[in-house]
Amino acid sequence: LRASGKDMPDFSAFPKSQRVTFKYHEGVLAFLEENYVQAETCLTEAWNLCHKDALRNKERILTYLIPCHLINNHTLPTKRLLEPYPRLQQLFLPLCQCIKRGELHKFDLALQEGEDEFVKRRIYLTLERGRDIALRNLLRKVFIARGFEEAKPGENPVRRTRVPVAEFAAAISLGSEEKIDNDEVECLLANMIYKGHMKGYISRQHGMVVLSKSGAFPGTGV
Amino acid sequence: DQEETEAGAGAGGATQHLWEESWDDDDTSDDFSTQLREELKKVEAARKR
Repeated sequence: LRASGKDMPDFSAFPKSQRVTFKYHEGVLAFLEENYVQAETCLTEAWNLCHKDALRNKERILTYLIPCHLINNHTLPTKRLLEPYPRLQQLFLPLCQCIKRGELHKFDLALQEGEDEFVKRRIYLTLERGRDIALRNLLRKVFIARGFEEAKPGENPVRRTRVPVAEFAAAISLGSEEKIDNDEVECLLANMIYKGHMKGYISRQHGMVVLSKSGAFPGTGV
Repeated sequence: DQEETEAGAGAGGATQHLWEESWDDDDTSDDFSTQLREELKKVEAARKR
């Protein structure tokens, strides 16, 4: 696709309709190569160039742009964005709600439920990576639920940063019939820390996770 | 002949409203949040015993 040599006219010289198509396909190719940053750039260009009434085309662009946003920025489409597209709502809304609430088990079910459609559109594997974000939100909820340390007079309240592994374990297995053992929980937590979704360390001796006082869940305001 | 694009229609400036954060702190009254709080209380009670 990189055939655009010096003998090609400038990209902006082509009609808009052709530029949309080109950027869309360039974006989808990058997407399939798991180059999500480039994919997002191309698809966003396509989206901005797209005729505002070309719903079918906009739907196609969003099919790939939504997973890109989830992976790159951890953001989800708003209700307003999905409003004109019942098919996309059906495809993405259940997953989005599970991610937002941190409902891990339901997320797995929703992914299974839509598996055929997701695989057909080649977005299954990308969406599966959204499980990390659902998990992050769940752990974040546990952290918030623990509230604050007793504040000393004149000081700002500080969140309780020591969280028992057992609490995370209970949260992770919530809704599922299967009990998850502690080693597996620690593995999930270690992965979250490694991937930068959570800041802190695991104290295995005490069965505690000690989270960072500032920005325990980077980019999420706590 | 294709003039009225998404950006041209003035939606370009509204792009920020199309995406939202992937968590929701206001949403704490749903079944799942309630269940989670109950479950955490149980774990905490068990630790104190």
